[in-house]
Amino acid sequence: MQYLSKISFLIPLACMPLTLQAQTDLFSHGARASGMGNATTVLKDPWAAVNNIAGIAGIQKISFASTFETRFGLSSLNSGTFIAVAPVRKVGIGLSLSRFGDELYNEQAIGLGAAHTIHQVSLGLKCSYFQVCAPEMSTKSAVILEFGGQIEVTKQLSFGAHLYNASISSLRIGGDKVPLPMVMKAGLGYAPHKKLLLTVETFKELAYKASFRGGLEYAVIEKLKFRTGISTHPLVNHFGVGFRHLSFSADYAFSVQTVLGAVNQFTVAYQLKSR
Amino acid sequence: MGAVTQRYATIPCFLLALLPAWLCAQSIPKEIDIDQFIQQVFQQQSEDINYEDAYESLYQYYTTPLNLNAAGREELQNLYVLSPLQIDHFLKHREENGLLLSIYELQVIPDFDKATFDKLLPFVIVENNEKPNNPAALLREVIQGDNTQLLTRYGRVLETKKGYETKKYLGSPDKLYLRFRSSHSKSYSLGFTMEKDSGEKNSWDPSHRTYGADFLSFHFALFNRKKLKSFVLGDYQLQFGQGLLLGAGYRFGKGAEPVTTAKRNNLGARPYTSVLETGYFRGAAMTYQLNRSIELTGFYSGKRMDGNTEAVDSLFGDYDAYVSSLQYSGYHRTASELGNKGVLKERIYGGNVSGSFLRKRLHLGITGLNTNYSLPVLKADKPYNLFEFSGTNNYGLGADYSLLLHNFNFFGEYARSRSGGQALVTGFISSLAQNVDVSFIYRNYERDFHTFYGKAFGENTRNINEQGIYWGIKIVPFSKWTVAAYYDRFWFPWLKYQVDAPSSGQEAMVRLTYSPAKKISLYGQFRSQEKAKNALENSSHFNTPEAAIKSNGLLHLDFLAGEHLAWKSRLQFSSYQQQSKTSYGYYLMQELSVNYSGIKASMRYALFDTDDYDNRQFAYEKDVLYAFSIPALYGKGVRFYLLTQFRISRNIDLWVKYAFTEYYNVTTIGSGLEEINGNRIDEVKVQVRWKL
Repeated sequence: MQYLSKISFLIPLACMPLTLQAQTDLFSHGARASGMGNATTVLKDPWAAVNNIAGIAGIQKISFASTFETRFGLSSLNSGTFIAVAPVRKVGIGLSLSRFGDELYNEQAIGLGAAHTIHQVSLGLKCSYFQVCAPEMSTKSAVILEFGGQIEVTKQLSFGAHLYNASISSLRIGGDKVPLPMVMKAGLGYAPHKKLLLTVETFKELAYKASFRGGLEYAVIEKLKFRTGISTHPLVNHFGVGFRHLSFSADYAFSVQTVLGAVNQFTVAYQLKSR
Repeated sequence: MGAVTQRYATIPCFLLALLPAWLCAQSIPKEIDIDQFIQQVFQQQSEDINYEDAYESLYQYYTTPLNLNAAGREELQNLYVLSPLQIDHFLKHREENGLLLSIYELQVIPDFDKATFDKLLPFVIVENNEKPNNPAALLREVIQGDNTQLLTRYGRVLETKKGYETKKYLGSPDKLYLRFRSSHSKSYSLGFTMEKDSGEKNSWDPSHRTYGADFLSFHFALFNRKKLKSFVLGDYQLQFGQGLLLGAGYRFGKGAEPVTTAKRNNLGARPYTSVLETGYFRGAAMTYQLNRSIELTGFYSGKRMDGNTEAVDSLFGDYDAYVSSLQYSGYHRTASELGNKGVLKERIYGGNVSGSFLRKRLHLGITGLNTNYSLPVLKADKPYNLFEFSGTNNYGLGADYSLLLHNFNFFGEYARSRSGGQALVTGFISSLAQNVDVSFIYRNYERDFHTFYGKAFGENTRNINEQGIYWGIKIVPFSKWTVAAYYDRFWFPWLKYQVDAPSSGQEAMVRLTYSPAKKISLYGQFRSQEKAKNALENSSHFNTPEAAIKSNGLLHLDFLAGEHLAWKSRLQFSSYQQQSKTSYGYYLMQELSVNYSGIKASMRYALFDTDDYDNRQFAYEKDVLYAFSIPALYGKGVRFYLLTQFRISRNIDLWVKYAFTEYYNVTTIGSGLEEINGNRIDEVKVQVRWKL
């Protein structure tokens, strides 16, 4: 029973310190995101399937990607995510499978989303089935709804917004309704030329103070990108590097917080050639 | 003849060049423009502004646009879109070239850029119409005119408030509203309104002055009948000079348009159609055009006001009771609120003489009014009320002016009340350069100056006990960028509620707007205000006021994608600091609007998080036509609404709005009789409009 009450605290309260930043969930969101301080609402890449579903609207080719994250050297806090995105007629479709934790406590989610662009506005919708497992408790689950939007304001300026848990879903644990995180993030991206991208974002999880993030991505040469970022509440520094060759890409990110330590994330992706 | 042929030569070229662009422009939904405009003009955080009236006024222009061929300087200023320089150029153009042939002719006028034209378009028209001059023609116009409409609205909070559970609220939780209006701006206006707030009871109860609906309002007005400039019977409002003695229901205050809203305009008598049950006159008013330069206005008002009465002690001789406080909310839900309804009879009569001289460059006006109450008004015996009005009679006499000198438009008003208290407000607006407009206002309202219907510029909601200087500026440094800012420094020579000593304060605001294209607007604003407030110690009888600093910032994006989709995104944050304690507030929202084949829908989702009530977040929301929604959100929670509008037929429109606020981690919402058990409040509004 004591363990059970600990569980009911774990989900809403522990999201933050366990991932080193206020997050929508405990899962991994790709090394590109992590390298850029998680200021990702404006990004248009396959990982938008878990960052801001509207970002997959312009996808041209089918891609698969997988990421693995280790936190603070504690294996019970590891997480991994697999995504697949494909363009179907004019709509981008994305599938994500995520897992966090070990046999003692773990969370999983499977989600499906779609996004479409009208003029300069991309709108997306995602539905996930989220599940929590712990030995002394029956499996708890909920359906989470997400909305995302991105706007190409000018050729250089873009805007993005993401709403996580629009359905205000919660888990029923021992008679209590434990609310799942309710998050809204909005940000701007500035790309003065093809090699450089700056992003800034405000992230608000209802239960906590708002945090702000900023990220930078610079393509030293076409195949190699360096990333860095900062996020607040808690204050974390991020660094990352990405390498791409033909259809393969690999990214690595490293983030560190003074007290808690370091988080490493490694991502690989494969893009099918378009027919 | 020469001027006319010259014009015919220029117009067709413009038409050919501009026609395709304007065709596209015209199809952009106008409703979105007016919302954006209102947000632009209104101050960010204020609950005391009669938005409904301001919206009504602007909406009046939107549905019956201002005829540019007949508009005077004051009417153009009243749109708050044109800078002083633009108005100058427009009037000069009209004077030199005669009446406008078409709206596209505006493009010829110097300094009328596309952005201005777009902002102006929904509110203006160019025509040379005849007005109905006899009763038969008038009646025909009422029956057939475009502008005859009947509107009914129903609203309700779905959860049960404590006032209904305990039966303290005598009526049902439904909010009902009915409004009939037939009008043609510049010709006539006829209307009536019936309204019942939630908790009030509709009944025939003459002892409580209820005749059917809780609030009834009626007006009939005629305009421009030969020498009779206007005649209003029923409920009306008056606006003369800078509004020191007679200021109409709404006041823009300090907002993001720091220059154009600094000067108030003489609007005379206008019908009152709002349901704010206060701030209007009931009787008759008439404006007579004596000759080309001079107008005379006379008015009479007799109505009842709500107030809290106390039994008298021997002080007041002839009277049984006195009024200790006047109530302005208009709520008559409980037995005690109903008992306060209409207890005080108010009789006002007065007049105004206005003249324009020197080819309309100088306006002078004199205003006087006398107010009598049936019971004495005596406020609570507190030090801050020492110089407030008391008694049964007040009169005010004042003079106002407006002078155009080169590119400066000076204005001002001076008034004096029966108590001997004086008030002065004066300033100027000017276009110093083609891309720089400035405004300046000095005000001095003595602590014993009493005006009941004054709404002149100021920091306080009433024009009493305040001195201040205000500067406003608007610059367009490069195309697509605008900087607007104001600074206000004020003093309160006497005590105020919760401020136990004379005090002073200041306020500054800066707004930066980037508009890369017509459909896109991105702006950021920062505002900080320092005002004194009693420190929260209970130790002594006299609390020492300490400076409290309230700051807020916002970032806003408005984006129109094609013709059918619009996105609005806003981030607001605030802080409140007093006695080395700081608290914060945060608000983030996204709103999507779609418009497709007769159906319009807007959906908004917002998260808010404030540490306390001082940091409450206001966010103007779209609402059904004529209704206003600016909820004050505090605590932690989610705000959502969905507003839909359907065009059922050519003459019938239907609106439905559903909204909820869900709070995080609370078990009750609100307090007293408004308390709800639970953490969520849902509200529904339905409205139907018939265009007859």
